[in-house]
Amino acid sequence: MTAMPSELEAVRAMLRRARTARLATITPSGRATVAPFWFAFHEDRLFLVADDNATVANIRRDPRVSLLVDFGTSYADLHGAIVQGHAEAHAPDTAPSWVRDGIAAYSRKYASLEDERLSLQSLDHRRPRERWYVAITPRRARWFSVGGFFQGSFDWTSESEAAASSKRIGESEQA
Amino acid sequence: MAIEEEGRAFVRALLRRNRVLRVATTSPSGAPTVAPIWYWFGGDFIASTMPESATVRNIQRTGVATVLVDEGADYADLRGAIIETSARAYLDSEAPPELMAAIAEEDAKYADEIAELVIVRDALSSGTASRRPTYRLLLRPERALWYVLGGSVSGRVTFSDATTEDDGHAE
Repeated sequence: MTAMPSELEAVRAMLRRARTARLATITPSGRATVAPFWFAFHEDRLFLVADDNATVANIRRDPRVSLLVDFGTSYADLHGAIVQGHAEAHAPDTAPSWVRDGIAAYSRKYASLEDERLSLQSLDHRRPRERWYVAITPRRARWFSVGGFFQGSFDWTSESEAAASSKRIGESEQA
Repeated sequence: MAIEEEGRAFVRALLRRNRVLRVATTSPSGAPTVAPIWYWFGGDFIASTMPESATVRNIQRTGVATVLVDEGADYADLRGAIIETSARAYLDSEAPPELMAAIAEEDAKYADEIAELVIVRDALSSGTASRRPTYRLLLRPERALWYVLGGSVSGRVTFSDATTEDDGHAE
């Protein structure tokens, strides 16, 4: 089913305003697991910094991930989006520039909390832990509202291309 | 071990005071999916009501689900647990009587939320979404990874009767 451009825009807006995402990955046994992450939505991709070695190890073994953002605390106001995508983990010193740009957006979003994070991590005796930059490219998205009563899904790539080309047509008509 | 018991108590307290958790399941393709569910905690199991969905079908196929319950906004108060569960999805007509009895008891506690749910369902009952069958989810915790202080401190605990049997090879 073809999504209206507004469906894609609604999901983008939720990804922009969400503070925490829950990221599902596949463990070595094939079972799904889920962990919370701060993240940034930048240039239509999702970026996060992970020192959770289990999640990074899962991504490096199987890049398929599902990322949830949701809002609301009672049944009727539960709404959100689930992005299915392809994740890649990069070591900071070898990350390509588009990944570093995304991580820079992440750092701006959470700048006020960085000192607190660093001071608390000094408590962690398992350190030093490696840090990884994770980039997620969306493939499909689902959205839901009113506790799941309303929902829809769409192919991210074809919808964003359709939205971009209709925008180009609109611009050329104006010219 | 004392810390193990404290860990279990912490996970149970998290489950008691939260209303929404996130459930991860494996799709037929092997890819993960994740969804939020509104739930209640019955002491040793997690129960929820959910329309027919990919999560329900995955639970019916695999019999397992991993759930995340977390809370906190700033780094220092981020805490939560990732809980591996054995999972079942039942239509009301198929649910074991003890589950339906527990649901009735808990429904009474959450009457306000359920009233909201019912008025929303009634208002939307002409929509196509409401024609999907509704399932009762029953998730039994087996193992959990808990964390506090933004993950700086964490530990693992086991639940269920398997705990003592597994002592020989758990570490």
